[in-house]
Amino acid sequence: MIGEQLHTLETDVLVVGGGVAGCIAALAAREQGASVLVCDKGGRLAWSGSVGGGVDQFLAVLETEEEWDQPAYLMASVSQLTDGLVDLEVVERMVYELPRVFRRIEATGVRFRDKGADSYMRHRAFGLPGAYHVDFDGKKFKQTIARAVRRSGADDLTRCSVVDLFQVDGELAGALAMNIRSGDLYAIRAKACVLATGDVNRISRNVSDMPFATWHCPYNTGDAQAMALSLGGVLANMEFIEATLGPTGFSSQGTNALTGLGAHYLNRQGERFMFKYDPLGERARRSVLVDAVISETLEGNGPIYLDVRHLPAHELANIERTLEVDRHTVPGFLRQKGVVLAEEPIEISISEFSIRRSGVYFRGSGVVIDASGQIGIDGVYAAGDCCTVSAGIAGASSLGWIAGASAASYAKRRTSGAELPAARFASGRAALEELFDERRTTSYWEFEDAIRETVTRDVGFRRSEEGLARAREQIAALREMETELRAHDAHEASRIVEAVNIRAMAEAMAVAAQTRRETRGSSHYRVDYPAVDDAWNQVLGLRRGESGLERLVGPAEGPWKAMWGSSPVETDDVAGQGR
Amino acid sequence: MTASSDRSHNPIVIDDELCIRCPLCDIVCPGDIIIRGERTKIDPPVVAYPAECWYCGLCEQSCPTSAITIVFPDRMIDPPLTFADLVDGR
Repeated sequence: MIGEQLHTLETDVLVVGGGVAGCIAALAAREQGASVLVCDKGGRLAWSGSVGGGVDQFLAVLETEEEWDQPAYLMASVSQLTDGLVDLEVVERMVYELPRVFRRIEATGVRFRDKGADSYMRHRAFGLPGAYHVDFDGKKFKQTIARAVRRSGADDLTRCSVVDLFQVDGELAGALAMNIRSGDLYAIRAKACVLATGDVNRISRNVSDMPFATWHCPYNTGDAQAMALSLGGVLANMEFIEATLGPTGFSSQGTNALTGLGAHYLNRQGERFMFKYDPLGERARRSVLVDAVISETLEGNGPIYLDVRHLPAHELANIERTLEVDRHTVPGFLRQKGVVLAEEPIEISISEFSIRRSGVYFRGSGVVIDASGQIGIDGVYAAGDCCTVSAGIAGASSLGWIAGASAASYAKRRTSGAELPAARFASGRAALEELFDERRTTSYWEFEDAIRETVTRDVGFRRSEEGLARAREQIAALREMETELRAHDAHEASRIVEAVNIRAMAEAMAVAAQTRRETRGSSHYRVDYPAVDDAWNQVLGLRRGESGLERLVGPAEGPWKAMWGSSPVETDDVAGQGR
Repeated sequence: MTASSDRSHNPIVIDDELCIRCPLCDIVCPGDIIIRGERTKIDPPVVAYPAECWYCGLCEQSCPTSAITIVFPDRMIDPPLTFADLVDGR
């Protein structure tokens, strides 16, 4: 089943993950003249990644005459928006690059303006200090940039999972990849690499107990984060969870749009409760809304409803279309459920959680990068939701551009690439072949269910020392089970690779959550340390050591690359060590 | 081990009469869930891994003859758990 065909490929820049960050990285690297190969697990770049089905807004700084429309003006608010827990140096590079990257994307044919319109439709959202978001019909956004990637002369390898990256004498040599349907293997020699595989999903349960029916893309499973750890990179902000509000039963986009139109949040008693939590009521920051719904539910005032009946008739008439742009299937879900939004309030609930950016713009969880996109390993770069600065498709585009250009210029400086290390390639291949051994008996989904049960109960919305210690034990025990995981085809083998990465991310999350003995909003809520502790105004990093994950600390507002060479913290009393 | 989700529900219902065997659903599916028929022009596509569907609807949206309907399982329409259950770890 595996490796009946072995293909050998060579490229200057290997891009792992062909979503927005990966595609823009490919364009940047091609513009520098580097040869580029993009690997993605999806069937075609045109529809793959988190926004393959469409997107409706882009955070842009356009340097118009408006005072707020300048990079410096936005930067002045970043510290407050992120509660001072973000690498400002990297955000600054991302924000200053945005105007140029926006125009570059527009040049690929993406229509950010309606036909004939001479200005952009912009609105203010998510607590940002200006109307940065450009509203546009992005149904074909991904198709358009994928076409530009193809035109640029970059090659792509779709339905392909990159399983391993190899270094020789501290230099990147290349990768082992597998076609997830045919099982064909690829030995890819590369001089530089951009990791762009997105966030971490399938790590917790939702009320429907449907592990793949998630808010974010369920095929994003922390593959880059796990590879970065293996190479010696550092992960940060891994303790924070991100969840959303959706119609009960379907973790999906949509409530943002309804909230933007002016929907009211009601509790079981019919009370418009949001004003109890914030003087702005329903116009508060998104993370405030999510926190409020969590509190209200746990206080016994659920279920919670969204009510749009008071909206003007013309908006009610288009409300299905509004919901459909971000998630095509939401109107069908409401139809099957028998809910008519114009006539009755709809019950909403909190989704499963993922590891992405703790619901806060710019405050990413993942691989620590510097302002060039490098991860502290020669020749290896990262961009998008897998790294520590995350800001939707805008962040993915801008950092993708930076990482792609940096990778290309690094590749150019190397005279020749290294040969793939034969023994390590062979053992990577053997590990895949062993998944088919009939003495193995555990399915990937049983293994994943066990991870999700533990993480949801003990590493979730409410955390305690006791629960986190228990979770760490159980997650460590699950590692032993990995040698029992059985595949029957290449597709299942790729799911096992994902499941193993999800477990590694669960371990990182549990270690980080246990170490941070304080509470930071609902994304890290310790019932035993329920207040913010100023001594914890520092970032927590994780690196693979000889006996498990090492904990590192750094200054809250960066530069986080300071953690790359730093010594691990040996004591459990970590507060205040990073300042 | 938990007895989590029922893995049998098929979310992607393909109308055999309307389907023109064009493999577009196979191509657009981000999760490698739908596999074109063995004889692409003759056999209908197969929903090979129904439990791994994201419910993104790209297949339904892309189908040139509207032969695909996304059908949600009972457990999404009427969920077996509440948020409080998940937090309490029941």
